[in-house]
Amino acid sequence: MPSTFFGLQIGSSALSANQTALDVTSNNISNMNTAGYSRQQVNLTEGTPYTLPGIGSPMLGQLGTGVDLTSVTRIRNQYIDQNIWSSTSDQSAQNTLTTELTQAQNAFGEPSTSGLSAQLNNFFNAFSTLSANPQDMGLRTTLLDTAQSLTSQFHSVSNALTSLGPQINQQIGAKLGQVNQLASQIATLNGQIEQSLASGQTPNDLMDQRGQMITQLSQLVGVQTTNETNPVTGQTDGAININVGGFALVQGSGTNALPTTTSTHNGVFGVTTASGTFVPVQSGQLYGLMKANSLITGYQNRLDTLASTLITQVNSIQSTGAGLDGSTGINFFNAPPPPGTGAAADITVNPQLISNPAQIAAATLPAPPATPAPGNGDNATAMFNLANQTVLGSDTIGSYYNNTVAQVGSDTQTYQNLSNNTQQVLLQMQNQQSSISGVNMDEELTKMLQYQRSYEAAARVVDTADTFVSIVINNLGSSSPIGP
Amino acid sequence: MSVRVSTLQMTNYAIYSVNQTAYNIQNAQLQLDSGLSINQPSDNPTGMDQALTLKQQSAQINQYSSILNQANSYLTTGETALGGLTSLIRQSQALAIQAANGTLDSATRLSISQQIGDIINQVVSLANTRYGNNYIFSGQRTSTQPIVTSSNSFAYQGGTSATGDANINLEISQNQSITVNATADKVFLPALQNLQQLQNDVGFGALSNISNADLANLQNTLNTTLTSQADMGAKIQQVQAAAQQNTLSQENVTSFLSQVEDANIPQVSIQLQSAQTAYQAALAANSKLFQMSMLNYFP
Repeated sequence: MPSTFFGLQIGSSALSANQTALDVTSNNISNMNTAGYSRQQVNLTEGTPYTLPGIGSPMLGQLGTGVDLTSVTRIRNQYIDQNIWSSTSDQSAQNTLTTELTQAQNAFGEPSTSGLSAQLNNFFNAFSTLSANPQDMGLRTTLLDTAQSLTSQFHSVSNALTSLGPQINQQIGAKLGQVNQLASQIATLNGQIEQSLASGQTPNDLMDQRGQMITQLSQLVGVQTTNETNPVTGQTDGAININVGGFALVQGSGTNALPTTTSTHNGVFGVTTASGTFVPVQSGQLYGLMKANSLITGYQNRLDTLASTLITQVNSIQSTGAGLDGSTGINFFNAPPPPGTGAAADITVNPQLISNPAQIAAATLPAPPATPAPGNGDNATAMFNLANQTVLGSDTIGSYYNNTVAQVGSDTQTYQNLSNNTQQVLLQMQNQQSSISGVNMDEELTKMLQYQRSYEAAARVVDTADTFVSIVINNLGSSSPIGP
Repeated sequence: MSVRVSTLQMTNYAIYSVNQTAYNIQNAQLQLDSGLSINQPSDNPTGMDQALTLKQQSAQINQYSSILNQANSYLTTGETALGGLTSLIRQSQALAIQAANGTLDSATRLSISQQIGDIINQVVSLANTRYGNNYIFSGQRTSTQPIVTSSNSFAYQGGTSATGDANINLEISQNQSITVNATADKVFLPALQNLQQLQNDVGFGALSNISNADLANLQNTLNTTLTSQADMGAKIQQVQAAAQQNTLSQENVTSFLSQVEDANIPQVSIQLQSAQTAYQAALAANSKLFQMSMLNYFP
């Protein structure tokens, strides 16, 4: 026979269980919009049964002793998390590339009536116009204006492209710093989680925070995660180890700082440790920035090749002709700088020509002793024809430039499309995870009502049990018999 | 399996769908505003390459048009001057036949000689015809007067084939040049020398010279001039044909360029309309969806 207060105790266990369950519901509603939050649920179990002693048989039966709140656990699928992290890295890389390449594309400023393509057309056409009236000083001045407009457009595109490099490098530095900062935060959380688990607790919120930080880390750089196992027990101890391209960034509660010296090894981007070990970086914003930097350097090189070829070719044609004043051998553009030193930023019309437009060599050189005739525009025609000559492999100056623009456009488009596709995939996975671990307000409100009603019922049970006890204490053994 | 949808998921999806439809609207708007389907290279890299190449072609065709116009003016000016020379030589031929008549008195002969003198002056002036500031019969020496007169003799100062500066060549289409001038030493100088000889013979009354050598020389000069004039006429036709061809090419390039880079306005307008409808639907669905909550049923 259980004690008189047995019923009160059962009721009390229900009151406390439902109150805690309501608290968990309240916490779920509070964190409905918190990034990385997993909804939590209370795990209730029946209390240890009380065995009623029997007379004829060993026991009469068992009596429930109420409810036990054994644990509060989070609901989350860790495997989806791993997929999300890897897709996040891909998406961040592609998104970063799209952003940076869009800027490179904007640097070219095409399509436009003032872009390099149009300016090159104007430049060559000005020579054709001059060829029909080579002695016209007005046309010569116009030609030089057109040439200067072309050189300043070269400068502006080149400057816009080169200014991207330092910006990107600055971002790479900042993001490498963030990687190490996040790594040490994750390591700290790892330590706390291990301790908490070891003492038999469920550190739901710490694990959520850690997951969210790994998501942030995945945006920066692609990572591989493994659950750490305790070497003694062979069981997972709750810590997550993080590798970047084979480099152990986080090991349990410890970290190794990722080196900040960027380098390229066999066409793979990465960083190099002080001891010279190469750590490849193959996704994440860091990869995106490194790749963008290399692509933009490629565009810059093409622009420089274009400018350098234009300078050399135009000067070579200019040198085969003579100016109105009979002058020969005067460069049209200043000589190009050595290869690889930014011809596009450097290209300048020879100032001597600007102060003396008569020296534009529109005429072909006659056989000596004859002097060049003012009406000879044959060399200017040759200069105009340069526009159609394949001087860059199978490309003309114009088509080489057009291809460059198309290349920038094509790269941008590729990463834009990839980024959009990966975004879809990522969204699907996030939906999948959110469908499992996200909070649904109506569900929580329903549970709230459920726990509220259960609490009310338990309170009623306590009240009823109390009346029993009251009868025993107040009415039994008194002089007056029971009842009125 | 029961499908669970979290509140955050609904919010995220609502934001995503509104963003997507807003992006579609912006894209259609951009195309309508600029009238172009390619507003940056990444919109259509291949199309961008084509458009730039076509614009380059178009700019060259325009340039050739302008050169063709100049060639036409050059040739027409020259042809007109040669036409003037033809009629002057014909006039002098008539005068020569008249002068060869032995019954003329000296006063008439003097008058004929004076008329030939006037013709000579007119021929000199024709030879020194200018187009703009350029002497057109001086070869490439466009700032040098081609014919100078000194004491009844004439000298040519312009460019010659011998010095390599006789021809003014204009490139009227890719790899095709045309010579747009004739030099005064080929037509005007022989004419002037023959006319001078005629005037002298008329003055001296050398009638047999006039009827034999002078008339024959004048006929030769006339033939040379006519050939030269016909040559220019043929070139004018060639230039005009090239100009027509150019106009056609320009039309082709322009229409191809339009196909490549112009926005398809009716299509984009419909896209804009359907994007707007989708946007409104998304907004309406979201606002209705988020009004639904169990909270509405609590007292």
